[in-house]
Amino acid sequence: MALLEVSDIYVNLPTEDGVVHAVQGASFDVERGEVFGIVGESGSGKSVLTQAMTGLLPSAQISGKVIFDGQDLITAEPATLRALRGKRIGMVFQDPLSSLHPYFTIGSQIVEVIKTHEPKTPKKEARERAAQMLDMVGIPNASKRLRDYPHQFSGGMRQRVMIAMALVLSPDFIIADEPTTALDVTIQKQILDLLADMRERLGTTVIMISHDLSLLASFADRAMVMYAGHQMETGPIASLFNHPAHPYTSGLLRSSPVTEETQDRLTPIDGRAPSLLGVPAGCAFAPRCADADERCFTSRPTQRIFDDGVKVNCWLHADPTLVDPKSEVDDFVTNAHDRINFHTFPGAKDQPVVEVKDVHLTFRAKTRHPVHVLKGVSLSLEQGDTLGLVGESGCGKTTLARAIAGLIPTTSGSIKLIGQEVGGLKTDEWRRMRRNVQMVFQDPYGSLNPRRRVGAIIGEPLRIQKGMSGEDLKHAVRELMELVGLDPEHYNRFPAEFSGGQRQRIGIARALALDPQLLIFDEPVSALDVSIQAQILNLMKDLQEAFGYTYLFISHDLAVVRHVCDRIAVMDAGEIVETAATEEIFANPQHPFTKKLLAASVHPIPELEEPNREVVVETPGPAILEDAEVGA
Amino acid sequence: MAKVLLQRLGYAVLILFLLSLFIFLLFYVAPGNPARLIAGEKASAEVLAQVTHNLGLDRPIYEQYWRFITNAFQGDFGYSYRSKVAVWALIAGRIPATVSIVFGAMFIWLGIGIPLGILSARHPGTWRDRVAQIIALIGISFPTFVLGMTLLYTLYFMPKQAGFTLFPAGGYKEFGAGLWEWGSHLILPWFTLALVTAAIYQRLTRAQLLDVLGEDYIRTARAKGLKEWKVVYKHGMRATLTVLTTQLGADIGYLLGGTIIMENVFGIQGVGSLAINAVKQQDRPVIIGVVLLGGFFIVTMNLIVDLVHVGLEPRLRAK
Repeated sequence: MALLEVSDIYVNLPTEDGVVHAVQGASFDVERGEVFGIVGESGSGKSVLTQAMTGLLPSAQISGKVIFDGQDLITAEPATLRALRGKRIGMVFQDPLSSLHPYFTIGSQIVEVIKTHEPKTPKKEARERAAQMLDMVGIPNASKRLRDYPHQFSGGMRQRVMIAMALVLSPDFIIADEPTTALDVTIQKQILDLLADMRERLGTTVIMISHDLSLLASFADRAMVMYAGHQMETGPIASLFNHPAHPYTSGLLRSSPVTEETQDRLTPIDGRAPSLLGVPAGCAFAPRCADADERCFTSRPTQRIFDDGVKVNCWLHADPTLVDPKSEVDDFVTNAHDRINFHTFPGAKDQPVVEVKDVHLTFRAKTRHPVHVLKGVSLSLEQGDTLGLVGESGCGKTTLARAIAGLIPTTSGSIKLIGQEVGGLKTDEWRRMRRNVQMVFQDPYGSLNPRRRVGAIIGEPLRIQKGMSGEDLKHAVRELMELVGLDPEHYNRFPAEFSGGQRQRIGIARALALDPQLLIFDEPVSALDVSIQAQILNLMKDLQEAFGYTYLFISHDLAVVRHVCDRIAVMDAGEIVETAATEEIFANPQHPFTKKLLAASVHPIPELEEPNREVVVETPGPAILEDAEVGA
Repeated sequence: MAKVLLQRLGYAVLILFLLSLFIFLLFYVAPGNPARLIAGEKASAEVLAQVTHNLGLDRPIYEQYWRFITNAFQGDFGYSYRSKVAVWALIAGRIPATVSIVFGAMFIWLGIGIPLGILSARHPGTWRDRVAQIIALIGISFPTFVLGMTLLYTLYFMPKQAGFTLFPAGGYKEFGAGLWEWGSHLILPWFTLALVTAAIYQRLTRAQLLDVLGEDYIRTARAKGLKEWKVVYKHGMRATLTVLTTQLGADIGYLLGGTIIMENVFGIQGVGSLAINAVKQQDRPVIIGVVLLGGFFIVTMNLIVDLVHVGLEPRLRAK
C-alpha cells in the first residue's frame, strides 16, 4: 500500500474577490521511500494542495480523500492532524529566513518539536537530540550553536536548520516546498544532496514541490505536473522528460533554459495563466495550447494511463506539436523597425561601449569594518555584444552594474561609457549620459510606481530628456508599447492590472524610450515563471538583432545567461574570476569557482529505458464540482 | 551597546536642557509681572522693586537662567510664588496620586485592549471581530470627562440614591491608608482612563497580530504540530511585543506628566491639578517644574523602551 493516496482532491479558498479554485480534482499516490515531485508555475496549486491536506489552511474548503498510512486526513479532527504534523509529517519551506522564528533560538525551536510530541522527554535530552540532528545535517559546532538565533546563520545553514527541525522526530514523510528556491545554486546543490542523504539514512518518503522541472530531473523518482489547479500529467521522471504526453509538459520543457544543450531561441508558451476565480468548462490549458481543438474548450479531458505508469489528462491522443520557435514576436520587431524612428547602431565602432578598468568599491560605515564590494574589476563591452555577468548573491554584480550606470560612485578605477569617464561628470553631462545607459530591474512589481499610469511611466524619460509632451509623447509611447508586445490601448492602465511578464515589458519599454546604446538587465527574468521567462528572453534577443543594442545581463542563473549572451564573466567575492565566450565557459571552464557553479546548475536528465509505450486504460477525468459541493 | 546607551543618555539630558531653556525664554517674553502678583495690586513702587529684586527678576535673562540651571542640578527647583513651598516638595507630594492612577489604569487597559485585539486578529471579518472593534470604537469616541461623568453617575450617584455606596466619589487616599481605601478611591478613575486608552491597544494588537499570523514562521509553528493557543500566544504575541512596548512607553511617559482631566473630574490632587492651578495663578517656578517633570518622564520612558527592545530583539543584542 502506498504511504499516501490522494484521490479527487478539490481545494477552494474563499477570498474577498470570490472563491479561488486552487485545486481541481488531483489524484496521485506516493509510494514508501520514493521522492515524488509536484511541478507547476505560480498559481498552479502545488503548495495549496499539500498545505490544505495537512490542515495548514484552516479557511480552505476541501473535498476528496487523502489517505495517509490508512488514515483519511480530510475527515480527521484538527487534533489528529496536529499529532501527525511534526511527528510523522515533517515540512520544509521555501524561505528559511522567514520560516524560522526570529525571536527564538534555533535550539528552542527544535526542542519545541520534541517537547510537543514527546512531552515526557527531559529538556536536557531534548537538547542533546537537537544537537545531534544539527550535527547530522552538517552544522559545525552544533551543541554551541543551539543558543544562536536564525539571523546568525547564512541562508544555506538556515535551510539545514529547517531540515533538522523537520527530521528531528524521524518522520515517515517530508513535504519540501521549494526548499532550494531562495538559495544560491551552489548552496542549492548542497541542500539537495543533504535531502537525498537524509532520505537514504532515515528511509523518509519525500514530496518535493518545485517550479523548476530540471531541478527534479536528478532528484525525484516520479512527478506530477500541475497547471492552474489542474493535474496535467503524472509519471516517472524519465518519461516526463523524454516523452512528454501533455502539451503543457512539453511546452514547459522547451521553454525552460535547460543547460544540457543550447538552443538559439526558447519556445515560450504564449499567453498567460488564467484566473482561478472561474472554473473552465474544458481543459484549463486549452487557451494557451497549440494543439487545442473545440472539444478542449467545452469538456474536461479524459485521463489516459500508459503502461509505463504515466497518467495524462488531455484530449490529444498524439504527441504534442512542436511549435516553431520563430513566432510572431519577430514579425513584430521587423514591422516595428520600419515604422519606429530608432537608429540602428552601426556595427563596429572605434571604441568599446563600456570600458571598466580596475574598479574598486568599498563601503565604509563608522561603526563597522569597511566592506570591499568590488576588488579591482575590469571588463569591456563592444557594440552589439551581450555580456553575461554571473555570480551568487553578494558577489557584487548588482553593485558593479549600478556603478557602470553611474548610480553609485566608485572608490577608485575608471569606468568609461563610449569613451567618456563616468566618474567626473557634471550634473548636466551626467544627465545627457543617462540617455545612453538604461537599466531594467529584477522585480517587476517593486520597480514600477503603482500609482502612475503605464503611459506616464514609459513616457517619463522622453518628457525629462527630450521635453516631449501631448500627442507626440503619446504617439511615441504607444509605439514603444507595441514594440515590446504590449497592447497600446492599455496606455491608461495602472501597473497592477498587468501580469509579471507584461510588467517586465513595461520596464523594457521605459528603458528603450531614449534609444540607449547600453541596456543593463539586472536579473530581468528571475521573478517570472518559466513559460513567461522565455517570452522576455526572446524579446530581448529580437530587439538586439533589430537595433544593435549592447547588453549587460546580470544573472545568478547560468542556464538563462547561456541563451542570451555572447560572452560570460563569472564573478565571485568582488572579483571577475573568468571571462570567456559562452560556449567556452560551458565546454572548458578554467576557474574552480566556474566549475563549481556549472556543476551545481547542470541536472542530468535520466534516460528512458522503454521508449515504446501503450495506453492501458482511458477513464473520465475529474468532474466539475459546484462551489457548494466542495468541503460540504 | 554601552556606547549606544551613553549616547541615548546624552540625548535625554540635551532634550531636557533645551526644554528648560525654551520654557524659561517663553516666560521671559510672556506678558505679566510675577512681582506684581506677589506684591499685590496696591503695592508701592518701592515694594515692587524690592520683590522684583528678591526674586532675582532684575538680573539679565542669562544670569537668571544660569542661576536656575545650577540650582536645578543640585535638586533645587525654586519655591512657589504662592505657597512659598519648595517646588520639588510640591511635586513630590503629588506624584503618588498620578502614578497610582496611571499604572493602575495601565493594567486594566492592557487587560481589555490586548485580549480584544487578539480576538479580532484570530477571527478577522467575523462578528467577534466586529464586536471587539465596536467596543474599542466606543471607548475611543468618548471624551474622557464624559466617560468619567457617566461612570460617576451610574456607579456612584445611582447606587447612592438607591441607598448604598459602591465606591467613593473621588479624592485620593494614600496607599498607607490600606489597600481597599486606596483602591476603592481609584477604581473609577482607573476605568475611565483605561477605557479610553484600551481602544488604541485593541487596534494595535489586531493590526500587528494579523500581520504576524500571516508570517511564514507561524506556518512553521503549525507545521510542527503546536496547539493553536501556543501558536498564537507564544509565537504570535512574541513578535508583537516590540510594537506594544513602544506604544506603552509613549503613553506612560505622557500620562505621568499629569492626568489633568481625570484628576479634575474625580477631585484628585495629582500632578495634573497642580499644573492647572500653577498656570491659573501664573506660578512660574511650579509651571517650569511640572513641565520639566513631564519632559523627564517622556525621555525616561523612551530610554526604558529602548532598553526593553534590546532585551526583546535578538538582532539588537551585541554578540
